[in-house]
Amino acid sequence: MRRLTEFLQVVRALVRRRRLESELDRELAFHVEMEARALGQTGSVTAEAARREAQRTFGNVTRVREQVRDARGVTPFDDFGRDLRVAARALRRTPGFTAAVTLTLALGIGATTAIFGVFRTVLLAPLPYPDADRLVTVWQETSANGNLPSGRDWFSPANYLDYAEQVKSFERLTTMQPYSVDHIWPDGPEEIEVWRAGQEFFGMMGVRPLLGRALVADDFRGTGAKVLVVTEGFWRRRLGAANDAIGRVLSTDDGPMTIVGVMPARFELAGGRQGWMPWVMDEDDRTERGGTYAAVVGRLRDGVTVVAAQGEADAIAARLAAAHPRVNPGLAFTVQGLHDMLVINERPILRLLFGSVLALLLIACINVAGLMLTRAIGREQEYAIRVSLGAGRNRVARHVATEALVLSALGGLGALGVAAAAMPLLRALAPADFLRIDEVRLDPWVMLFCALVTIGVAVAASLIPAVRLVQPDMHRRLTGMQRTSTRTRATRLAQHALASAQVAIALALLVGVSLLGRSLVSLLSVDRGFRTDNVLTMSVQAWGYYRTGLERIEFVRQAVERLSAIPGVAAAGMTSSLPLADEIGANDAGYEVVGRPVGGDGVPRARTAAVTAGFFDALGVRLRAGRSFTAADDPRGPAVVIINEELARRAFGGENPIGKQLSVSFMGRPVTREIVGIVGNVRHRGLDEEPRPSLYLPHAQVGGGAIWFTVRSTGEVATVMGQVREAMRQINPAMPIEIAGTLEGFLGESLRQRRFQLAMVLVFAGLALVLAAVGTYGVMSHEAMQRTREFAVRIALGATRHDVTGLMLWDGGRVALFGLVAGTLGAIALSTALTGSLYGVSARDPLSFSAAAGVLVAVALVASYLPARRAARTNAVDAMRGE
Amino acid sequence: MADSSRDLLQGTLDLLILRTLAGETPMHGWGIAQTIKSTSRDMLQVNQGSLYPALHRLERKGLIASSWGASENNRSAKFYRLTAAGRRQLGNEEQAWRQYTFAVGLVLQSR
Repeated sequence: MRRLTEFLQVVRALVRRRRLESELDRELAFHVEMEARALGQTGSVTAEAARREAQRTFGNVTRVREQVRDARGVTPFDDFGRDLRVAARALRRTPGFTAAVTLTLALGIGATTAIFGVFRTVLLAPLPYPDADRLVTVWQETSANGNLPSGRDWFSPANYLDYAEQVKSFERLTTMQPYSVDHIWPDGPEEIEVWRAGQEFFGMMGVRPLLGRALVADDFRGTGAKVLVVTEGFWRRRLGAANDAIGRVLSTDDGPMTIVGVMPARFELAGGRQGWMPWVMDEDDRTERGGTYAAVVGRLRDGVTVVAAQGEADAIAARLAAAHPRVNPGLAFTVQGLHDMLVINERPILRLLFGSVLALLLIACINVAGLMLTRAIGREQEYAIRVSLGAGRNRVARHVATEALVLSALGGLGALGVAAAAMPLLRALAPADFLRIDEVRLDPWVMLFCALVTIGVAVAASLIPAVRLVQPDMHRRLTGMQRTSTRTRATRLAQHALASAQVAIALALLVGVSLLGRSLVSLLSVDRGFRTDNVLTMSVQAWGYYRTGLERIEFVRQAVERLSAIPGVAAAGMTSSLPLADEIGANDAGYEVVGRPVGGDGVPRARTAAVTAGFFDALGVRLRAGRSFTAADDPRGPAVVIINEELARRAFGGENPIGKQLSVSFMGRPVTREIVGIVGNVRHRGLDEEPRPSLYLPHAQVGGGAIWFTVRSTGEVATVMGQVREAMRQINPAMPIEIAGTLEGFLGESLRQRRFQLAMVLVFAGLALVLAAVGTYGVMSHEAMQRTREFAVRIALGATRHDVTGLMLWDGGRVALFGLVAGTLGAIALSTALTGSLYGVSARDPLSFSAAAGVLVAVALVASYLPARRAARTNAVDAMRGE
Repeated sequence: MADSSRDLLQGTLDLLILRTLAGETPMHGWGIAQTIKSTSRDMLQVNQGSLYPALHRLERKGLIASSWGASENNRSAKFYRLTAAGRRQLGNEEQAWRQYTFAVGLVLQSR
């Protein structure tokens, strides 16, 4: 209680300081007056003399006032306030220093804060589902899988059903499949891409719809009206965000469809699609064990870990592999946390970015510490005088700390500004499908992070100079006042070490940029196997309009004919599987060489596309041997197939495959086909894909699969766009066509993650280089200034200006050299971590290492040459007299 | 300065102020100093440099309270009075002081 009263009094004293001060003045004045009156009453002196005497006996009013203030307990606050004012004044007097430190901190902390914001939102913040850590996805893979680089694929429905029946780890388990329906809006037809989801899906996620309801059990009976739950995006874009959108019926090629609910945007699992319909597996689905089109998600039972679920999945996979050796060779299941799956692309990028930005922050800190140290050395005499005049060492150290505090507060505020500005930039630069990048904000967590980093930096940056000040050799510095070289050997070493450290970190970042840049260059120059220039692509959903295979074949024939006839079109063709645009699980077929027994690995699979001959022409896929498809390869002609070089190599080795027979199971029963041609390998899934076996079937003999048209124009694609639309409209005005974009565009999109990564690391490395250059320059200028007198003596004794410059350059070179040695070790660690992102360049690429080293040596030499030249030019007599 | 002025023992001034204010009438700083001086027969003189810090320290501790009022010569002055806590404190300190002087006396008498 007593303590509380006392505390409140202090607070009152602080709050009402001005009033209390004037009250004190009045109180003391009253005392003097009373004293004077008492003296005056004795009658021996005049009133004026009495007043003077009273004032004299009272003593120093200011001192009394200060003692009273002490007694009130406000002094520490006063001191702090004074420290703040003194610091602010001192910083205003050196605007260059203040600006340099503030800017460095703002950049370093701001960039770190922005990246942390992304890191937190994408990797750390839980997904917006209840108990999200129990949600997992399950993949299957087989040793025959020739399609997916990761070896991970969706389930085949039959495998899923067996797995779901046997597995015990899950509270709920469900599956979904991509699907699409066509609808004609007033502005034209649209293919609405949706998911068909199992009954458990919405209950498992536990997210309430924004409007209406999710799918319920009744929807899966297949008796009532067809229903559709749409995304918030679709609702806004197509339904005008209207509340009465619920209950609206869309007429589609799949019959009328009632919209029953809208899911909020934060429900991430739309995967770029527009909504969800019920999936009730039919008999075809239930028996399909080869085709992989069922994505599996589940909620683990409480207490079951991913590892435990994986153990169970391994056992089930082994049983299924044994039961169906032909379609499930080497079957394996992989259980993966849903969050881990969703951030599979983002995680390595963010780790790299966070690492790089921390390196940048470290450079910024070192730079600031160096600047503070230099400043402290310059002010040592001032502090020495203060100490000798009675200021406590702690008081002086507090001075330094206050200055650091003010600087970091400025830097921290600047950092918030930098982060706020950088976040929209990050959102714009990031690939469109970067998970939850839209949610990145300067939220309280991010601000707290910024504040903590700022405080950490303030403490670190003030530590070095403060420690130096408390050293016991203060008197020596005072006596050394007449000389400028008060730097101790240790200080000089510290300064050089700081500069070396900056060089080292900058080197690591530069090597990283160089490696990533060279990877991108090698990717762009790699033989991709097809051309992307002036190729327009277009997808159509023909299934609703041409129900039989023969109808579709005729439609494709007509469309290709009309498209090819457009003036300005060099070649037009059709494919069921477009490079750079496929989804997981699509377009895969098993193949066997006729007359050869199946090996132990089971039936091998190859990426498979149904194409017309024009597809090879439009994309410039090279024919290596045999012939392309002709009009004769139709349903009446003999069944044929074209293979790629990789399949030829794997299946036939040195033999000539032309004329050999393959049994291909593509969308149904196996068909024996004669190999009529070999084409070059196409990097279908992206430029970094290794060659995979591929099969091309004449569309006229298949009639199934997705339909993509590819049109290569002689000039810009824009010149033929209108005519392409018109040609398609003439064939069928109701059918939606989606101009998907140019192949060049798809290529750009496929490289966007790499470009993003490279751009960000480039920015960080650039900033790091600038900071390192400025830091080294600062240390070297200081060095030159400190040694001006020494240089003057040397010159007076006969050294040339050349010799003096050489001395400084040698110093700078040594700093760079130490930095390079340390930096090379750091760069090796970084590049090893980068290995997964590299293409066509070794993680120890000598060119990258030496180029980065060269840049830094050059920077260090320039940074030491400029001050060296200045120092060497000083007039020797002036320098010595000036002391 | 009078020769009888002594450095008051640390803490003694607080006791004297509290005791002086123990009468019911509030007093201003000068009055307190005068009272101490006269009741000690001029042997104790309170230095202003100690008096006002002590007053403010006691006020901070909540042992005395202050208010502005008119002085005997009709000027506005700051008057101090004892609080309940101050009265308790005075009792404690008086007893401690008596014990202390008694003990010191015993030591001085022993020969």
